[in-house]
Amino acid sequence: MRTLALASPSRSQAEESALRVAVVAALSATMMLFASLASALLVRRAFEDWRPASAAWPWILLGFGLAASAGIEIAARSQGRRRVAGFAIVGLSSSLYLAGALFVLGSLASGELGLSRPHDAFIALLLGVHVLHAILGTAFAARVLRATSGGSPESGLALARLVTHFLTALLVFILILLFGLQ
Amino acid sequence: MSGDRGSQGFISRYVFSLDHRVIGLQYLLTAMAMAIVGGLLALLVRVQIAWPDHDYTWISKILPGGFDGGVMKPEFYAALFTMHGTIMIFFVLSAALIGGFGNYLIPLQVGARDMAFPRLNALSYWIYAVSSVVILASFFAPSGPAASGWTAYPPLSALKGAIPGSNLGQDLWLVAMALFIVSFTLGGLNFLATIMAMRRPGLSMLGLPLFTWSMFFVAILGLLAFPSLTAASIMLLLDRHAGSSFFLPAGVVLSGDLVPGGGGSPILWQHLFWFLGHPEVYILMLPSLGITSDLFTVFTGRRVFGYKSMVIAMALISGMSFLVWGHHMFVSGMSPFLGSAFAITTTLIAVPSGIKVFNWIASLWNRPLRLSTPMLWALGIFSLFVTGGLSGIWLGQTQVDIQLHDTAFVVAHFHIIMAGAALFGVFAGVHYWFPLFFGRMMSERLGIAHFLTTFVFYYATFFPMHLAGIRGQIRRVYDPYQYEYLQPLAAMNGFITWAAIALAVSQLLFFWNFFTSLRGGARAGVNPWGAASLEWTEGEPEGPAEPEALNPVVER
Repeated sequence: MRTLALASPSRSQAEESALRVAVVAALSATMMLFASLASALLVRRAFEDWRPASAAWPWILLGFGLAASAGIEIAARSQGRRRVAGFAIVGLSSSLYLAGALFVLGSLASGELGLSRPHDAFIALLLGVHVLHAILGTAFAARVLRATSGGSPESGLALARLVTHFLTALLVFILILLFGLQ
Repeated sequence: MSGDRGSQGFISRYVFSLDHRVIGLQYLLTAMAMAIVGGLLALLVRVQIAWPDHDYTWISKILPGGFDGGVMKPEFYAALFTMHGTIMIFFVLSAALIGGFGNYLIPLQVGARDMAFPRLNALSYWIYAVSSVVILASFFAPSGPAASGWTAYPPLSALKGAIPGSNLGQDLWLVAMALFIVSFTLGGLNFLATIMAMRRPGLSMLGLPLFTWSMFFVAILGLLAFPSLTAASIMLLLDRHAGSSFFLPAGVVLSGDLVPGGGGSPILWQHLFWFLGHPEVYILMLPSLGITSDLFTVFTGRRVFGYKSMVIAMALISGMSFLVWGHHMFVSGMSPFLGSAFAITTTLIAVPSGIKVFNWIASLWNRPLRLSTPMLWALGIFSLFVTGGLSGIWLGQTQVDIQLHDTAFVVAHFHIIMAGAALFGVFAGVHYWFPLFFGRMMSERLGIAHFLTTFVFYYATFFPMHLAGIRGQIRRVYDPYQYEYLQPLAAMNGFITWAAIALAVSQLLFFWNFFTSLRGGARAGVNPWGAASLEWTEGEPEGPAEPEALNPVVER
């Protein structure tokens, strides 16, 4: 049998590393969820009752998403008041995105045809799941930033940045799926 | 350990504990309770198949909703096999092997003080507990529990009112599954983070026991495969309640009325479901395979043959399990070329499986075997893995599968390879780690009697089903003998049902042994089996939490 000598450990490094692993694993699971939804859309859009619709709101929501990503970049690349301004942009654009997306979802659900049109059903499905992840992601980013603010804010900021960019990339992905593949 | 046990009250110590050991035992005990429910449902299914015309007045007094004048109702029979499959696969076997053993053992085997995120761990258990309550509550739904099979195929599952179980029962099934997936996902994140980041420095991944390796792959499988069922479940809920038609085809007639809308694809559900469904098979089996390998190391006195190749084989099995889901759908009208591709990938999985089998043979070859109870269960897993694996090669071929699809042959196959191997893994693990869990030994005499009766009656129950399937007995049929060609199988079905009853009765030995050993078992020493893995080392694990940790020398 092979013998292993064990050396002294480091707690904070291990905890940071564990958090990184968990975040990457969670994002991978989220990616698989959206990949499953996307594959369903690609199958369903080949059916004869598929009628794509166009709208202006996706570009507005995309603007908010991109603004959130820009805000977290500003916060990550600067210090002091500029960093605070970056966080403010993230908070404002995230709130506007959530409000806008919820408005779109409400309009779809209360519309005359409800979700009976396949394209509308997929809009509600993908946007709804994205909104849920955006809420969870924002809550996680806020918590991790708060938790690391006293010790190593850069590590918390790196995770918040990863989550924010991931959510924006997901939004771009679903908007391309819904409106780019006409 | 999370917190000081001595200063904690009973509730915080044993109910809302953050200690991975308590949480592991919570999972294990909950799964045992669910196993009793799932097992009783199986017995009712078997009784109905063997003697469908019999008058069961005495059972109907206990379950009045399921019987009509002493005769089981068809919709109740459908609910029985649906709930049996769901409960056993997710709420018993997944929970016991992964939630139970995984939570208890991973931190100990990697030398950590606890899971990376103890609160998340406790949350994971409690979400699982709630999901168990929800699935059990569906039995009390006004129109009964879900009855569309554990696969929940639409349109039966998508149409409220299709059958009684398609109403509230199906909604509760979906909610329970969603909660279970959330629980599993939180657990999986924790497992990966603990194994990758919380190992004692100096303990490399290739120093880990194969059980921990199996948990590593199971966590990855769960995190990447369960989202597919999550997606499908959300879509099914929208179909049922929001007027969408993801899975509902056009032209469905229900009670003489054309169902409005439609245009979706029930086959789409099958793809999404089986993208999870097949990896789920390995989610159940890999822990058992890991336990078997580790027990062969302990009870032969030498390290299992080909440790690295065992790890590689598990990695290959995990990776390839994402490429074979189509073999569950050979009769769905898929292109023959696609069917061939899935047949090839399915057959290729035999290669890493074969590596494991031949390594096990080499591990046992010409070595002194200590045939203690855990080792007997490990040998039982070996036997089931080979038997079930061989019938799997048959079913992986389109030509054979098309004939045997949805017959008792398939039931035999998956009960032997998946359910049996996983169940035996639970028994192996409980017998082996009982001294670690409770400081006492389980009775060897009762343990061996339990193993022998379970082994014999397990094969007596499921092996004849191969023959019944080859002779055309279709599964999920309320009364097989309505078909003349199945009437000659009545005697065989009677034998299978008696064997199943004997199998169930023999489990009383286990429960008796388990609960009497808790207080009356012989006191176990620190390392009663003479194992070399870290969980058996004396004292509290130090983990990365203690800067002044010792530098222990461990052997795998």
